[in-house]
Formats: sequence, C-alpha cells, structure tokens
Amino acid sequence: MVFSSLIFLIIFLPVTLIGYFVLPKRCRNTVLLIASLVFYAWGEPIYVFLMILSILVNYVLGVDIGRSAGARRTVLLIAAIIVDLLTLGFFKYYGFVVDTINGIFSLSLPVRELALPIGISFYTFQILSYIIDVYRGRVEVQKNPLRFALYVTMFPQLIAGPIVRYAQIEKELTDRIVTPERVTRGAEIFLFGLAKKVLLANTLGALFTSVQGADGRTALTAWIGMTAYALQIYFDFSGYSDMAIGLGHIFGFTFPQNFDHPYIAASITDFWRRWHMTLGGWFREYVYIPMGGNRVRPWRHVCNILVVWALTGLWHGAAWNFVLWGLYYGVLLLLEKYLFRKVLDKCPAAIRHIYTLFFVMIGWVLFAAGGLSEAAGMLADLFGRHGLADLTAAYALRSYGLWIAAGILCALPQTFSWYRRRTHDLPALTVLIGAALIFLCIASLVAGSYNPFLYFRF
Amino acid sequence: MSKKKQWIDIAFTALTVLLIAALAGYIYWVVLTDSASDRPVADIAAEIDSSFDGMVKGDENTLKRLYGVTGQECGEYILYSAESMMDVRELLVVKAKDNAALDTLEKAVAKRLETQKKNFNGYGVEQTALLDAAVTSERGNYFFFAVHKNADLWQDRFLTAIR
Amino acid sequence: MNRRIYLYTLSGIFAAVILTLAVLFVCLPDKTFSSLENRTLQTLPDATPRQIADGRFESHFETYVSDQFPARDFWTRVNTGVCRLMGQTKSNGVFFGRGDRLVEDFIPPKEEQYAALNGAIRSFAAEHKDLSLYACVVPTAVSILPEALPSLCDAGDQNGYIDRLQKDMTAAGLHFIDLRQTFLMEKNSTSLYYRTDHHWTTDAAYLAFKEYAAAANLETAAVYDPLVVSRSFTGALSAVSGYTLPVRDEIRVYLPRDEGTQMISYTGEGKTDPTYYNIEALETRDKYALFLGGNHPQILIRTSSKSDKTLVILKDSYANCFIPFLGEVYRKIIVIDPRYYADDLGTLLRGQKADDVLLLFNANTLAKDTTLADVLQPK
Repeated sequence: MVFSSLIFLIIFLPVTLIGYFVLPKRCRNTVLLIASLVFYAWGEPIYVFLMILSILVNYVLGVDIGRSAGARRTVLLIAAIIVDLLTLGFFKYYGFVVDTINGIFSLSLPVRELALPIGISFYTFQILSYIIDVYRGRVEVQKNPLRFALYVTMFPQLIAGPIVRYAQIEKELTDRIVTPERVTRGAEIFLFGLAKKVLLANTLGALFTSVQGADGRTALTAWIGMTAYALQIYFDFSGYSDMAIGLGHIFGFTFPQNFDHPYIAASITDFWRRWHMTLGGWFREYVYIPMGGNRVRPWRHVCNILVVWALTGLWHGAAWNFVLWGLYYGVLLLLEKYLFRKVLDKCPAAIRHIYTLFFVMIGWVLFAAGGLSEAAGMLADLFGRHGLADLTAAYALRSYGLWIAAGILCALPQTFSWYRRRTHDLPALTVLIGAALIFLCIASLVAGSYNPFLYFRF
Repeated sequence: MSKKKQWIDIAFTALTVLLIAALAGYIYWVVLTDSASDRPVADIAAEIDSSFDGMVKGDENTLKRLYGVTGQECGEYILYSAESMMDVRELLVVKAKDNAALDTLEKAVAKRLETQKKNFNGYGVEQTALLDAAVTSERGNYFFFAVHKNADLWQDRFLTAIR
Repeated sequence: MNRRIYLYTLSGIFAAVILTLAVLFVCLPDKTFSSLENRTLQTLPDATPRQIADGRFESHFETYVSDQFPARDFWTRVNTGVCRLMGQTKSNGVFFGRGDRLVEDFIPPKEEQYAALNGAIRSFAAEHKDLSLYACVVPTAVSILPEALPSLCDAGDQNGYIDRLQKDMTAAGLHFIDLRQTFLMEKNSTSLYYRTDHHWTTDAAYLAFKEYAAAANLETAAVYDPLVVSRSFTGALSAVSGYTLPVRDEIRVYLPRDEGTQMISYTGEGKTDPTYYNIEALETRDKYALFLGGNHPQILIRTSSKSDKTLVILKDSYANCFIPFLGEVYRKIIVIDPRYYADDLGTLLRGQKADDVLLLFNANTLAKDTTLADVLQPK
C-alpha cells in the first residue's frame, strides 16, 4: 500500500485514525502496531513474517547485549550485524553478486529470481541503528517487545523512510504528546507531501517517460527530460518523506527532516547535506565516523569517503551503475574538499548554483540509466548528438512547461516561506489553496493509475 | 561469574540461535515454495477443469499461431483455446524444459495478451474485461496462463496440483 | 492566531472530505459498468487465503476502491480539465484539437512490422497474378485536418507513411487508391471525420467508394439519400482520452433510392441479416457498430446486383460503412477481418472464385497491425 493511493486515503487512514484517537491512550501503541503490520502485510503477505522474525531476533539480541558485558557484548553485536546484513544482502544483492561472479569467472551459477521485500533496506538500517546504539550505551535497551516492534514497523516511515535512528524517538515510544496544534500541523505537512507526489512527481514522471521512449532525442528534449526526472525524483521522495513526517506528527512522533531544498545547494557538499539527509546521517554515524571519519591521514580519509559513497550507491540499487553513481559523488566531494574549496568560495553565487545543478543533473543521468551504455547514450544526447532542438521539444514545453515551472517554483524555499507568511496574514487564501490541492490530488488519483514510486526498490 | 548468570547466558544464546534458525528456516521455506513437484501436464489440466466447455484442445499449429513458439523449444504443454476467433478464452500450461524456455514463454504470452487487448479494445467489452483479468503464473519450472472467467480459480487449482 | 485558524480549517476540510468519501464509498451500491470509459468495473473480489497470500486479492481490492470511488466520472473530468488548463493537449494518444475536435495521433510503424507487411503483400501479389488487387490506405484526420491539431504539436508523419506504402504496394503490383487529394479538396464542404471518434463519416466513405469504382472500372449509377440516424454519437476517442466535447457527432446512413436486396451471413456465427445496419447499436454507446454490427472474422454478402463479380475485401472497421456502397457493383462480397481470421486465404479466393481483392485500412491501424501480414502470407 502506498500513501498516495485511494485505498490508503479513504479506507486505511480513517480507520487507523479513528482507532488511535477514540480508544484510550494506553492502547495507542498497540493500535499503531497492528495498523502498521496490516499496512505492511497488505503489500507483503508472505514477507511480513520475515520482518516479524527479524524483529524477534534483534529484540532478543538487544536485550542480551544490554545485560551482558565484555567480550560477549561484542560477539552479540557482530552476530546481529551479520544476521541483519546477510538477510538484507540475500534478498537484495544475491542476484547482483552471482551475476558479477558469473561475469568474472565465466561461470553459470543459477540466479534465483526472488522478490525483494518492500522496505527491507529501510527497516534493516533502523534495526542496526538500535543494536549499535545499545552496544555503545547511547540508548537504553527496549525491554518491551511490542514497543521495539513498533519502532521498526511504524507505518509512516516503514516503506520509504526517513530513516529514523532509535535514539531520535526513544522517548516518544513511551511518552508522547499529541495536541490539536500538532495534529493539524501534521495534516498540513501530509497534504503538501501528497500534492508534491501526486501532482508534481507523477506528472513530471509522465513527461520523462514520454521523452525517454523517443528515438533521436535532441539536446533540448533530453534536457527537458532530465529536468523532469530531477524534479520527479525530488518531489517523489521528498513528498513521500513529508507524508511520513506529517503522519508522524499526527501520531505524536517527531521524525527527522529528510530534505532541505537540495536544488538550491551551492556545492556538492552542500547538496548532500540537503538530500536524503537521514541516509547520509546514518552512514556518517555508523560507518564513516567508526572508520575514523576525517580525523585520519588524508589518504585514509580518501579511502573512507570512497567506501562510504560506494556503499551509499549500492544501497540505492543492486547494480554497478548505482555504485558508479555513488563513487561519482564521492570523487566530487573529495575534489571539492581538497581542491576546489577556496576557488568555489570565491565564486559568485550564480556560478556556484549552476556548477552544482550541472553535476547533480549528470549524476541523475547515471542514476536513471539502466546501464553504462544507456548512460553514455543519454549523455551524448544531452550534448547534442542528435541536434539541438526540434518539434518534440517544443511540444513537450508547450504541454508541460507550466508543470516544470510549478516544479521549479516548489523546489525553492522562498515559495514555502511566502506561503507560510500568507497563512498569517491571508488565512482565507491559503485555506482555499490547500482545499484546492485536496481536490486536485483526489481527482488525479482517481483518473490515473500511473503512480510509480522511484525509491520503491529499496 | 555466578552460576545463575551462566545459565541465563546459555538460555539467551539458545533462544537467539533458535530464532535465527527460525529466520533462516523461513527464508528457506520462501525459497522452497518457488519449486514444484513433478507431474505430467495432462494431469494438471485435468485438475484445473473437468470439461473445458466451449474450448478445444490445441496442437502444435495452435501453439505456433497463438504464441509463435513450438513444443520443442518450450517443453511438455497443454493448450485449450476457444472455437471462435471472437472468443478470447485460453488456457496454457507448460512444463518448461529450462529457464530460457520460461523466458520465451513469458515474452510470447505477454505479446499475445497485448495483441488480443488491442484487437478487442473499444469493441468487445466482455472480451476486454476477461483479457484485463488474465492470469499468468510461474512456479518452479511450470508456466500457467489463463483467460477465462474462472482464471483465478484455475490458478489456485494449478498451484495446488503442483504442490 | 490566524495560522491556527488556517491549520484547523484546512485539517477540518481534509478530514471532512476523506470521511465523506469513505462513507459514500461504503454505502453506495457497486457499479458494474462505466459508460464514460467503456469498460466493466471491478466488483468486490473474493478473499480466499491463497489469493490473499499471493497478493491478488490486495491488488483486485485496490482496483475495486478505485473503480467504485464515489463520483468517479466527476473526478476524472476535473483532472482532465486541470491538465488542459496547464497546457497538456494530448491524452492517451489523442489530441484535444482546435475547433472542438479530437484527433488520434499517428504512430509510425516499427521497421520489422513494415518489412513483414511489405514482404507478405509481395508474396501475395505474386501468388495471385490472376486477380485484380486494389489497396486503399485511408488517411485520418491527423494528416487531412492538420489545422485542427494543437499548436506546436509533433504528430507522426502519416503522409510519409502513405507515400511509402503507395510506392511499395504499386511496385508489388497492387492498384493503390490515394484518397488524399480528394479529401483535401472536399474537407471544407464535407464533414469527413467524426469529432469524437477515430472513424470516417459515411460521407467520406462515399467519396472513397467513388474513387474506388473509378479505379476498378465499375459502373455506378446508384443515387443515395443521406439519412441522419443519430445526433448523439460520442465515439471511441472520447472514451480513450477522457476528453468530453460540448458537441456530439451525427451518424448518417446513405440509403439507395433504388433499394436492392442483400443477404448478409456472418460466417461461423450462424447469423444472417437482410440489412447492413444493426439498428440496436444506436441504443448503445458504440453507435458505430450500426454498420454491420461491428467486427466479425468473416462475412458473406450476396446482393441483387446486375454485376456477376465477386470481391474479397480485407479490412479494419473503416470499411464497415463503406461496404454498403459495394452492394451495387458486386454480386458477392466476402469480408475478412484479419485480426480474427484463421483459415487459408488462398483456398478461400479459389473456392469463391474471386475477381477483385481490396485491402481497405486506415493508416493508423495499418501501422500497428501485425495480423494482415499473417493472413496474406501463403501457408
């Protein structure tokens, strides 16, 4: 089930909200847990038991680490990490590993076509954050298995993040405040996330698909296509994160921010402090810093960065072009830190923004392409392999120009600050805008079955 | 270290090992349910439906005409199609001889479904409804494709037959 | 303070909308058919354990919620309206044209498809040199009425396709009938295409028939009186695209002043009719099925024509309103729709002692079709 669907909006959500708010406060965790299991089972009727077993294993290991000392603690930690990563690896990377081995050694090992359990990348990382923090003494052991299960399965963030570290909501699992103020604020955030996903992401995605399919794309067409893709993936993912955060507020949880207007970044370093912030934060906390971070000699630091970025790429998908994408950014970040920093700081803002957007767009080409040859083809088109412009580009602009403009507008923080100020001085106008968005989202959902979620392979 | 603590340590370890075994076992079971028992296709078809009213058993020519494949390249098969070209009912069960055959079948059936939908789009509402509800399924090395009002029921019977 | 009013009101509206829709969804009875979309709607699916376990129930249920959503048609129209406001002029391959007209886009054929068709036509022509072979590839509104297309639109090049077919078919030995000149001349005085449907009007079919008769050296003396049989036709393009126009189409039927008789047998379906027109179709949504009752694999028509010639016509639905005109000049007409035809064409041609063979298709369908090549290939 996805948030941007009619079944979620008019069946699952009303039932869950009514259950949550009508029943006594002490039932709230149970209601949320049951709702989350139903939510997950709806999409994964078989793999829901896999998730439950993972939860049980990690619950027991967590309690055991908490009560143990010395070497036993470390053994338990390693066991947990191995079990969790093996499970994730088996479902997500088995095919990739076997294909690569087959390629290198010219073997023909069989590849099982197993379906990937939805959200396994997200919930595995959340479980690991708990285990590691219990080991490090940063958080207390969660002795209540239901509360632990709730942390892992909470439906707002289960399928597509943000990746919530246990430390961030430890207190709220037991003790949270739900006020009307908070609920309504959450509803607003959810609504805007829904609009981003349904109105902007889906439409721009349709534009990208229509452009991708054409042969002989001219440069303008290709750039329109990549702009559409860049906007689509941003609104898709940040819209979904917003819906998660909004729902979190409604239930009394404060989830961390996942996006901070990444396309106004002034450098690649800045971009990655604004894009998928919780993933970056997770890797920094549990991989980069334990490896030494940047408090080591430069060549070690370079290695650390490259390893972390290769893993970041790999997390996004079990294919070499994702690893390449990750390393692409790793290299750019290193170049920025060791070479460009001073030059970049002296440049005027416009140059910095153009520089960043340019490399980000190239990055998306690597990300969107199915393989290296496809990526090369797309890059060639972008730089004029089939000419500069044609009627297809003109028609695309005519048909989607306003949508692209709306997308660019909504990617800017100024738009939301403007809107926020109007909620203070022109509340009627903003209520009207919000209400219109509700209706437009529903209309779009009813009319279209085209509702893809790009980060769903995770 | 006290005796009691030792015992609790052992208890915890045992419990953990048990749960990890359960997890591994579950994964194994999931992988296992992808396999199927060995049965002749004729038997499977008999368990899917007793009579196949209004449909005729197809031969090599029908297989070639509808899907563009031969029994040689796919494996043991059984095919039922409708008597009239305006009727879209179909059943295909194949015991594929290898993974490549499964791939071929997937593509051939997908193409067939697309062509049929195109042919009846806008004209035959009932046919289009049946085609939209068509069921394609794979289990182990068996391939199943049905266009029929009982397609879902037939898929259940197919899966039971090869369990 | 204002912000609180804003937040509370907006949340209130959101909650009210969702709850109202939820209640309506549960309370309203399920519909089984959508006339706007021309398809059956999903009803409550079975909840068997196996279907729940493999996800079929869940996916059917989600379709069920979407299909039975309260005021579904209203929401779809809102969405289409918004898309048009934002500048989109194409939906599902159909352009929302200027002057209240829907125009289907032309998608050029894939090279393999074109080569297969061309090869099949060559072999067919070589095999049947004793017969007179004619081909008529009808242009559609996308090339005849380009002024109706939205500005800057990149519609496919249908003219180029017809040119190419003309060259190759003529080289293979077929007599190619090019309607484009006539249609371009007549388009302002005659309504050649429906506004909401992809078919041509009976008036266009009549023009085409006159061209064909001239090319095939057939004497035509019949006079026809056009009769409007429906003023409320909303065609397939409207359903496919979701665009609704403020206008409806008229369907005209050309009745011959000297009424002949004919017997139409739908081969393999056991039906016979004395008339070309299926009046019941006018009560349904698909009014174009008035002509010959829609599509059939094979039809045998015997007429009271003075001629003794036999025609075999391979066609798509464009020919349905064209065929009644043939009744004057052929004693026997065999109509074959290659999508549904499974027998051997060669045997049929010899058995029925055909004189002329006509391929009548519209360019859009022919570019996508793979069945004609199969039927024409000698077995």
